[in-house]
Amino acid sequence: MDITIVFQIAAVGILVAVLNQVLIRAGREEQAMMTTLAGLVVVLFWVIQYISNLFDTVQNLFSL
Amino acid sequence: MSIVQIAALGIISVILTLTIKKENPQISILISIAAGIIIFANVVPRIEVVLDIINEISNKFETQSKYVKLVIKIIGIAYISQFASQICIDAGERAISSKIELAGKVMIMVIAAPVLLSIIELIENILP
Repeated sequence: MDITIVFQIAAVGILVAVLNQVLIRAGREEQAMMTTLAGLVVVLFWVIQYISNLFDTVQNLFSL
Repeated sequence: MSIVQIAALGIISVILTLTIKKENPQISILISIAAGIIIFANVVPRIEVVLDIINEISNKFETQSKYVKLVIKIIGIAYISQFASQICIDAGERAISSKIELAGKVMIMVIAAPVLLSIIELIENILP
């Protein structure tokens, strides 16, 4: 639970953005769209784990 | 984690969010969510200490302790609904965020209703 998580997500985001541009320049728009979606799904799974972790701690903490 | 590190973490994640915002707005919002979660995870131990103190105090007055538990539950609901609605506002979806806040208020009202009733009964007993 420290800043490395933010760096990993940012790295995936930047990588996807760069890949997107490269693929668009190469004329393959649909593959560019696919890589953007793939990167988004990966990051979404990471963040959803942290969100469920957060909600569990809040529920235990405030006895919801 | 001291306040200095938390502030630095916030600033760094804001900068990262802005770098990615143009090409990839979805991931930039996920970065801000992750930063929020990390900061809250670092604050949790301190909140536990405060809640233990509150429980200790409330256990001295037996009648009051159930009201204090309600207050703590309300704080939890308020925090979660505020967390979600702030994320929706960041993403620009004001409608969804106001619906989440409405739901949070309704739930808090449901929990606070019995306290209200008992206070009104108390007042009736006092008045001649």
